[in-house]
Formats: sequence, C-alpha cells, structure tokens
Amino acid sequence: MSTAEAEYISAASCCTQLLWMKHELEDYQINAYSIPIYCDNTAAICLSKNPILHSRAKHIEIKHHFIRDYVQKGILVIQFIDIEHQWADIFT
Amino acid sequence: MYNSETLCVKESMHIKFDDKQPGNEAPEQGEIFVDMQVPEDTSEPDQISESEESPEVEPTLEAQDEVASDEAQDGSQQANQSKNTFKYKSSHLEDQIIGNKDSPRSTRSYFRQEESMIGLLLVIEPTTVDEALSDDGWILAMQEELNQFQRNDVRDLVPKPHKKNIIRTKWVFINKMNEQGEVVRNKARLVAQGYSQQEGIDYTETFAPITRLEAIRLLLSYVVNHGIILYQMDVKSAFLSGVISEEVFVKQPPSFEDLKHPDHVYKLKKLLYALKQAPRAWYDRLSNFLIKNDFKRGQVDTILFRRTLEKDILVVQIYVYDIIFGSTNASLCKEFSKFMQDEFEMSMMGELKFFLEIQIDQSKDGVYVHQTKYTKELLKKFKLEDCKVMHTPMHPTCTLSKEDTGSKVDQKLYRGMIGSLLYLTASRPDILFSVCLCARFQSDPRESHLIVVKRIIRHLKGTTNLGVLYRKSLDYKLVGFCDADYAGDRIERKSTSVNCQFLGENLIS
Repeated sequence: MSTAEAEYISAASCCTQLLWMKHELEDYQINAYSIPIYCDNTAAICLSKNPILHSRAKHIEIKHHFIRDYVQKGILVIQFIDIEHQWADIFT
Repeated sequence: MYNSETLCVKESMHIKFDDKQPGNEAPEQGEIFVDMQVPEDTSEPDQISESEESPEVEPTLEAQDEVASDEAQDGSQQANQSKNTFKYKSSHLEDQIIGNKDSPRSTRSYFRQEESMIGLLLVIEPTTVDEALSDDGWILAMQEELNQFQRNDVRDLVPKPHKKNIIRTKWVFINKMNEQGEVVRNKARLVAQGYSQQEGIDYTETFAPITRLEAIRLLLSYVVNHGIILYQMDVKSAFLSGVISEEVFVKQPPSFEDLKHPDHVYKLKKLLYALKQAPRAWYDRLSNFLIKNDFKRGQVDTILFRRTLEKDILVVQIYVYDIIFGSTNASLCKEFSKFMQDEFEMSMMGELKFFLEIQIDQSKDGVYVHQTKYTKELLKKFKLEDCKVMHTPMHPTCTLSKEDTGSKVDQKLYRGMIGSLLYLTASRPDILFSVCLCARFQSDPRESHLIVVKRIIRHLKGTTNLGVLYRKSLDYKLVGFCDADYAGDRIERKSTSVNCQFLGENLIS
C-alpha cells in the first residue's frame, strides 16, 4: 500500500469516466483520441505504462489494471502535472 | 346522479334532511362565509352551471343565488344550512352525492365559483373523492380530465374479464401554482394504482427516460462551443399519448361509474399515470417517432437524438416529459417545435432557463449554471435564513468521528439536509468534499456532525448565486485530472480518490 496505489486506482476510475464521455461525444460526432489524464504521482504513471506485474504491485486488484490496456492502445495518455496545476485537488 | 354516457346529472329523489343534528363545522362555515363576501356582481347563473348540469337545475340555482346574497349578511342562517348539507352527505352513498349538489350547498359553491373568478381559489387540496365532490371547481376539473380521456381515445368499456388483475384507479387533486405561489388552476388527475400490478404478469420491463447529470453538462458544453441556443418543450399529459402494448384493465373511476354497466371495466388503449409501464411506453412512442423522422439515437445515451442536415445539427435530449433541443440553424428549431406540436400535445416553453431545479442562463459569453432558487429554498426549509455567513464550508482542522458520545440528533433532519446538499453539488463542486464527508455519518448523526452540516449551509448563504460557467474554448478537447489523498480519512484510513474531467475549459464531472 502506498500513495502510488491510491493514485493509480484514482486514475483507473478517471479512465472509466473518460471512456464513457468519449463514447458520448461520438454521439455528437466528435472523436476524441489520446485523451490526457493528469496525475501528480510519477510512480502511478510508471505503473500504468509498464505492463509487467511485479511483486510491489501484486496486491492491486486486477480490475484496476484495465487502464494499462487503454494506455497501450493509445486511447489514453497519462501525463505528469505538478501539484499547483492539479485541478482535482479541491475535491480532497 | 352522474351518468358518464349522457354526460349529465340527474336529480335523485330520495334526499333526507335532518335538521336536528348540529354539525361540528358550523362555526367554521360561518367564518368561511365572512371571508367570501366578495363584491356582488350580478353575474349570470349560467356560469355556475357546468357542462354536466342539466337545464332543469338552473331555476333552483337562480333562486338560491338571491337567497345567498341575503345570507351573506346573516351568518347564523348559513350555519344552519350547512348543517343540512353536512347531514345529507353522511347519510348517502358516495356515488349519489354529485347530483345533490344543487341542494343548499350550491349557495356556497356559487360563492366559491365567484371567488375563482377573482383569483381567490381555495388552496386546500381535497384528499378524498368525497371532499372533492362537494365542490364545483373540483368536479369541473375531474370532468375536464375525463374529457381529455375521450379526446385521446384512451379506453374502451368492456365486460369484466375472467381471471385478470383489475387495477383500481384513484383521483389525485392538485392545485397548479405559478412562480409566486398563487393557485392558478385546480387540477384533478385520474391515476392507476400501479403498485397493484405484478411483474411478469401485468408488465415486463420498466424504465423511465432519464439521463445522468454529466450527460446534460456534456450537452451544455457542446452547445456552448457551437453557439447553439437551447430550447425547452413540455408535453401535456405525456403518458396519455403513449400506446400500451400489454392488456391492462382498470376499474371505473370512483363516483363516475357507468350507470348501465357498473360492473364493467375499462380496457386501456393508452396509458394512465402511475401505471408501471407508463414511462417506457411513452419513450417507445417518442423514440419511434423521432427515428422515423431521420433522427439518430445516441449509442451510449439512448435518450439523445441527433439529426444532421448537411452542415446543421439538431440535438434533442429527452428527460421524461421535458424535451430540450437546440440547433445550429434557428429555422431548424422552429421547424422541429412545429412538427412536434403537430404530433403531440406540446407546449413550447421558450429558451431553456429552468430544468430539474437547475437554473441555466444562456448568454453570449457562455452558459451559467447555478441553483440560486434551490439554495434559497434550502435555507428556508432548514430555517437558516437569518444565520451568520461563513466564509468556508468547513474548518480545515475539523475532525468528525463515528464514536461520538454527544447527544443524538434527528436522523430524518440530518438525512434531509445531506440529501438536499448532495443535489446542490450539481452546480457547486466546491462543497462536494465537505458534503460527502458529512454524508458518511448518516447512520448515526450526532450533535457535532449537525453543526458541521449547518456550517456548510451557512457558507451557502453567503454564496447563493455561485455556479459553474460554461465558456467557449479554442482547445476543445477531453482532459482528465486525477488525484488521491492517501489514507486521508481519519476513521477508516481509507484513501480518497477523485477525478474531474474537462471538455475544453468546461467541467463535466
């Protein structure tokens, strides 16, 4: 358990929302591709980019790992953002 | 007695009067009468005689009116009369009452009729059919509803089928109010008692065409970026226009039974309110109609319809019986509203301003979404209008714990507050965190928790008109932000994970 895990799970739930919105936008004839997700934790970003499961992250449930698929497909791009520009910060 | 086939009222002969029993409400009646002393204009008695009243009643009424003007000054006599009325009401069967309203009671209803003309309709809503039937205004409203059934060709009278679930019906009475809270119209609605339907037998699948708030925000953001103005439309008696697919039998409405066949039931062709399948059938009808007219249904959000004509786009979003639509081309909008009005009984509400308790201001700079009215009502509801304003929704070092030993508070009140606040987060994402934190203590709210919730509401008082602004942005792209608070929760050491998505500059979720 670490901050990275918390951030990783949060990114995964963000991913679900974005995918829903992506489909919704297709109804409006707007195609979104390589949608950026801004995350302020580099460890979490690395976890999502690296498809190999290693011992430090084995306790993370598989359902959260689906974000990796979308990152590999190029639908999502996880980028780093420093905490000053992190807009989601007001919710915590 | 009322006959639904000939649409007229026949007098029944066996009325018994009993003067001896004084009714309890006698003084009240007198009081009401004092209030009702309206400037006496010599309006024709025709105005009282409604569609269902037979001509032979009129002379009596005329006579009564003269008496009535005298009696207005003489309260005691009136009280006496009301005793009569009270008595016969209780000594007669429910369905015989309608016809007798031209007995002493009509003096009173005459005044009420006059009252309604000068805009002083009684605000009391009757709860039972009995009560409603003693008042002409309500009878008129009920008659109107039945007439609407006939217009829409809602039902057939058939003999009672064997081994079928017969759904009973009920009258519901409401007063329609305008924005100032004045009664505009009395309305009676016949509803089915849908809860007596059984799944799998009377209906199979039910759903109502609603959408997520995010979808609406997405629509707003889309609309802003394309410079579309949204319009709103309302369907009159939406469900009545839906065609029913199952066989449904309902009982005849209370006190409006058919004289010849009192045992017969109605087989529904169209929907009644509160039937389980009502919203679904309405959606089916509407969507079929739209698809027939070259609209495309949304893949994810099935209540979003789109129609593309060369470069112009017409977007239609349905929310049960509200329809929101907008187009890049203004003439397309007009066309749409016209052809919808041809198909359904619709009323155009103009630009989208108020939708699901959310106020939407459309201007050149963008769309401003706020809930000022809702916040004010919320403050009023919890009697916190005169409180001191707080600058922050929550103290930074505020700690709440589950094992609080403070005195318990009313759970209903606490949950009510949380519920109202949660809805407010639709346009106020800034209070989301504090509200959600308080929401965790709903199972056992204590004094300390309530104080924190009240602080949020006090914060709202100073910031009633804050909202979310949707602007046009050059960079129209979907962006996600995610963050987590590792083990931030003091009770369960759980982590809080949050995310927000932006479309351009506009917050979606």
